[in-house]
Parts: sequence; structure tokens; C-alpha cells
Amino acid sequence: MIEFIHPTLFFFIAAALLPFLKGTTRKIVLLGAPLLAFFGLLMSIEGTHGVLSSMGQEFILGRVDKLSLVFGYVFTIAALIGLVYSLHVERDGEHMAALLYAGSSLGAVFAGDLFTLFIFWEIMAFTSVFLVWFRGSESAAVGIRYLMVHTFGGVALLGGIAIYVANGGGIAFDALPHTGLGPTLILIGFLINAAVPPFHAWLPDAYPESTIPGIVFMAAFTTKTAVYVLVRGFPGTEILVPLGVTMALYGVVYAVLENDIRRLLAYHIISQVGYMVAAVGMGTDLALNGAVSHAYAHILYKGLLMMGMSSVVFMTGRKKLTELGGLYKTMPITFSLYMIGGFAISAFPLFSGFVTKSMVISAAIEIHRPAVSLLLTLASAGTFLHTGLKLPYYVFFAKDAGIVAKDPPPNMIAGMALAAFMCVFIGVWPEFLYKSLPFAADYHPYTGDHVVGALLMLLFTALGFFMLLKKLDPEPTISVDTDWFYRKAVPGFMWLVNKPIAAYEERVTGFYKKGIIAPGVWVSKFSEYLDLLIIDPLVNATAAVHLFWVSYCRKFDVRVIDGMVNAVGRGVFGGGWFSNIFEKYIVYGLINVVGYMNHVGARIFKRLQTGSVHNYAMIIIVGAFILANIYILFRDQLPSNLIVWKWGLG
Amino acid sequence: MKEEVPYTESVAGQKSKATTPLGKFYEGIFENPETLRKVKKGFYITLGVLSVGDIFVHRHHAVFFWDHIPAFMGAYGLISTILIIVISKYIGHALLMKKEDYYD
Repeated sequence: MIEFIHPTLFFFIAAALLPFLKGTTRKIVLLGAPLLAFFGLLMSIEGTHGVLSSMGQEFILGRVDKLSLVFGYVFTIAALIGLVYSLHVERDGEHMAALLYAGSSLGAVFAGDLFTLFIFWEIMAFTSVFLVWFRGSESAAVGIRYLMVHTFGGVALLGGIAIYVANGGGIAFDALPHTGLGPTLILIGFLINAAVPPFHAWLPDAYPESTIPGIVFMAAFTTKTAVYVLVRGFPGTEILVPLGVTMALYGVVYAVLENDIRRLLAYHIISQVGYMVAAVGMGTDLALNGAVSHAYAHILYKGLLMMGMSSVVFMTGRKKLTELGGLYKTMPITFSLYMIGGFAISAFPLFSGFVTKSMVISAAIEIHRPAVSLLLTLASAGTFLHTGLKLPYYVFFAKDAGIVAKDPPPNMIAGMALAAFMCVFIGVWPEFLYKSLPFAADYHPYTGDHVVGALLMLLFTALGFFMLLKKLDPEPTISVDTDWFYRKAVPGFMWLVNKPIAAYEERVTGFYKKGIIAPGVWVSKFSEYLDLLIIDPLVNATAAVHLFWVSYCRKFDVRVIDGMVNAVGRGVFGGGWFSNIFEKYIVYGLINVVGYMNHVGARIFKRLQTGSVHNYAMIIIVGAFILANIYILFRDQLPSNLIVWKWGLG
Repeated sequence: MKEEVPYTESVAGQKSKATTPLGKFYEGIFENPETLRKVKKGFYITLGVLSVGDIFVHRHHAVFFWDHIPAFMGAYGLISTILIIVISKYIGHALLMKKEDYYD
């Protein structure tokens, strides 16, 4: 009985096979990987699997418990949805990057120790960046910025792990202490991937620039892996509550200003992950369940929203609210499915967001945090305002932009439909999700006050939206974010390079001059004297010998070789005179004789050519007579010599 | 590395038309002023019913004082929306929003 098959295995094997496959086989492998991984997880037994012992440490590849399993389920489902959505893509590289990215996220989720976690953490960054780079040449800079931030986060994580382990913490990855340099650096590494301000700017910078289907994977894995490791490593860390609430509001503010449809959704990832981070900070069982379930629901509805807007970008080639409008008529299926995602993220009753987000807010109320509960409710009004109202209004309604579009290809619709089904399914049957939650907390979302309260809040938000519609008109601008510091503050960096670092470098150069160059001067002086006393006389002696040899050679040349050459030259000249005489008198004479003989012969033959038939007949008869005589005379010799005789007449 | 080519192109100044049955169904709702008026009316009625009905809803976990105020969530949602829009737009225009070629 196999207790656990690591889901990463299916994804990595599929990625390795992909370049060798074509057509239907390729599609089967693409969809088979997440499906097999999912069923593998369903049948796995909780416990610790895949332990590698090395250097006195235990590296755990497969720590299977309820917490890792629930993330494993939703990651494999998200990968399946994303792969269905991207099935029409023919470039192997994109699928390989997506498979490796999804697989390494699962690797990070099931990692039982900090080093295994770090390795999969890094693979995630270096595979997901290709989903940005495959967009085209203009995404190169974005990808580099994305990679730089994640490399910084990875270094913080690795440094933190090293310090933590060196201080005797051990490499096992469980709840970490809230104090000390090591855990703090690890936390910073986690927070960078969770896109917590001010480390968040990589997300809205890179995600909207990724490929059409790539963003579906991007939206699912990186931030949610970060939520998982926060739940695992830092439950109840107080600082996470204000950070999470800030995130929730931060995304909302930027979403008001944003004109790029996929960037608007990217800012709402930050907002939604804020709920989860705040819940992790609260640390109660209900709050942690809320963080996990909200991550679960979020992956599905955010994937759906991203797929919807990616379809719009794919079909119209436009991505700005100011350039879109009136698409509900031509892309009605996309519109309908998008709205399901919009209702889910806005936490409408009967949709998935309602059964998960209300859990986080209830957890805040349960531990008497009125400010947290009110601010998170405010952010959720903002969520509905943007993703449920503003975005669909300006994309699908508003001013008709006259775009001749149609719904996307069937596989893209299927991907969206799959996600939409899950959004409604979890909303209608929350027990399906609740029973796989890791902590013991009883929660009932469908109570009268929850439902009525949620509906009141949402519908009055809609009222406010239509009241202030004019103010919300999108503007063709971009909004600066904390990435300004590394995109625009380069002059400041150059000052740093030119002033303090250059001054430091000058000191180093000064030391170099005194300590290394000056002794070097003495060494060179010494070698100068050595030169003068020993090497120069030697060189001079050699030169004198050489000079004598050269003059001797020259004399030999002038007297012996030149003389020989002259003698040969004279001999040749004499021979030339003789051959001249020979040519003139003998060769030319012979030629003249032959010419004259020809002339005489021609005159004789001219006589014979009389033109009279009887003369010719005479000659023929005489000739025939002579031939007959020759034949009779030499008859005995002929048979052996004459080929005509032998084959023709014989 | 080539950008995906969109399947369709747009024609400026031309109104789009529904071609699929679902599109035509939506067109029948959203392009008809009569239907839209009914939807609006229904929306306001729902707001009223929910606000009044909230008085009678049993509070399971009334923790804070505002949990007892009827239709508090409605008022809070409306105020939140207005605050979000006004404050965000203010911050945006004052500080954050730049021309699209700002980084180029």
C-alpha cells in the first residue's frame, strides 16, 4: 500500500515529458498530471513520508497533515483549471514553466523542514518568472524586477534559516519563535512572497505583464504558499494583524485608481491576502481556519476573475478600462462566468467568498478586535465596489467601445466554468470545505444576521457605486507604488555609488598605493641595477659576436655565392645564342622544305583533277589493278594481318 | 517570443451587436429602458425590505454596540463606499497618479 505519492512528482515528470509529446497525448499528460496528483492526495495517509537523512539532519519531503493536504487539494485543482484554460497554447515552454511552478509550490507545501522549503521556494521564483518572460520582449525588464525582489526574499529566508539553525533551532519547520534575528528574517522572506506592503510592489508590477494564461497560475501559487507557511510558522504573530488590515485597504485604494484591468485584479489579490495575513496574526483556531479556507476560496475565485479578464485581453487585444466597454453583448459567457467570480470575491451569500471571509471577520469579532472587524468589512465593501461593480461595469457595459469580439475558445470557457462551478459549489455546500480544515472550530456561516448583514452591506455599496458613478470614471494614468524606489530612484542610488562608495573606494586606493605600489617601486629599482650590472654586459657581448658573424656571412655572400650566380648566368647566355642559330637555320629550314614539298604535290594533284569522268574511271581501274596485284602478291601474309580479311571475308 | 495575437479587431465608433443567444438575451434586458426601470425599482424595494427586516433578525453574536442598530451594515457599506472613492481619488490625484509614460 502506497501511503503517499508526492504530487510534485507528477508535475515535474509531465514537464520533462512535454517537449517529446504532440497533439492529444500532450493534452492528456497536461491534464493527467494535476488529476493524478489530486487523486494521489485523496488517498494519502497522514504522517511523515519521504525522509532523507544527511549530515545528521532529517530532510522531510512529505509532511502530510490536514493543513498541508487542504493546500495540496486546492493547488492541484487550481493547476488543473489553469491547464484547461491554457490548453490551446502550443509553446511547450509556457506549460513547462507552469507545471514546474505548480509542482514546486506543492513541494513547498509538503516540505517538513526549512531547507526543503527553501529549495522549492526558489524553484517557484525561477519558474514563475518565465510566465512573465514568455509575454514578449517588453516584459524582460519586469521579469528581472520580479526576480530581483524574489531573490532578495530568498536570501532573507536562507539567511534567517542559517541563523536560526546555527542558534540551535533545528531545521524542522513548525511554529517558529516570534523573536530573534533568524525567525525575523524568515518572516521577512515569507512576507515578501505574501506581497505585504512595502514588499508588495512586485505583484501588481509583474502579474499583469505575464502571459494570458500565465496569470492564472501566478494568482494561485506564490501568495497562497506564503499564507500556508505563515499559518505553519507564525500563527498568532501580533504584527501580522495590522499588516494584514493595511494590505486589505491598500489594495482597495489602488484599485480605485487603476486603469489596467488585470492590474486592478492584482491589487485585489493584495487586498484579499490581507484578510488571510490578519487572520494568521489573530492566531485562534477559527481565525486560522478562516485564513486557510479563505486562501482555498480565493485561489478559485481569483483564478476565475483573472481568466475572465485575460479572456477580454486575449479577444480584444486591449487591457485598459478607458478603451473597453459594451462587451456583454459579444462576450456574454465570459461576462456571466466573470460575474460568478465577482459575487464570490464580494462574499455574496451562496458564493464561496461568503463562507470563508465571514469566518475571518467573525474571528476578529470573537477576540474583540472592533477596529479590525470594521476595517476588514470596509475593505470588503471596496472589493465588491471594484471587482463586482466597477470592473465589469466599465468592461462589459458603460460606453460601447465598438469592439468586434466574441467569446474565447472552448477550453478557456471550460477552465472558467470549472472555477465558477467550484465557487458556487463551496458557497452552497460549505461543509465540503469545512470538513478538510485543519483546526477544530465550529462555524456556521448561514445565520440570519450574517446573511442579512452581508446583503445590506453589499446592496448599499452598489447604491453608493451608482450614486458616485461619475467620480469613478477610469482615467488613463498609472499609479506609482513602492516599486518607485527601485524604478525611479536610480539617481539616488547613483549618488550613493558616486559619493559614499566612491569615497570609500578612494581610501582603499590610498592604502593600495602606500602598501602595495610603494614597495613595488623599490623592487623595480633593484631590478634596474641588476639590469645595468649583469644583463647589459651579457647582451652587449652577444651583440658583438652576432655582429662578427653577420659580417662574415656578408663576405661569403659577396665573394662566393654572387660569383657562382654570375658564372651560371653567363653560361645560360651562351646557350641562348647557340639555340638561336639552331632555330633560325635548321628548324625554320625544315619547315620551309615541308611547305615547298606540299606546294609541289598540290600542283601534281591539280593536274589529275580534270573533271572528266573517263579520266577518273581510268584512275580507278589502275588503282583496282594495283590493289589486285598487291592482294595476289601478299595473299599468304594477309589472313593473319588484315582484320577485314579475318572477319569480313573469311 | 511573440505576443499572442487577439482573434478579433475592433472598429472604432461602431456599436457592437449580440450574435449569440445568450448575448441577445442580455441585450433584451440591458438595452430596454422599461426593464432597467423595473430592475431599479426592485433594487430599491429590496434595500427597503432588508433595512426594515433587519430589525427582526436575531443576533447570534452581538458583541459590539453597533450590532444592535438596525440596518447598520447597510449604512456602513454606503459610507465605506463613499469614503473609499473620495479618499482614494484624492490621494491618487495628489500623489500617486502619473502619466502612462512616467517610467519610460
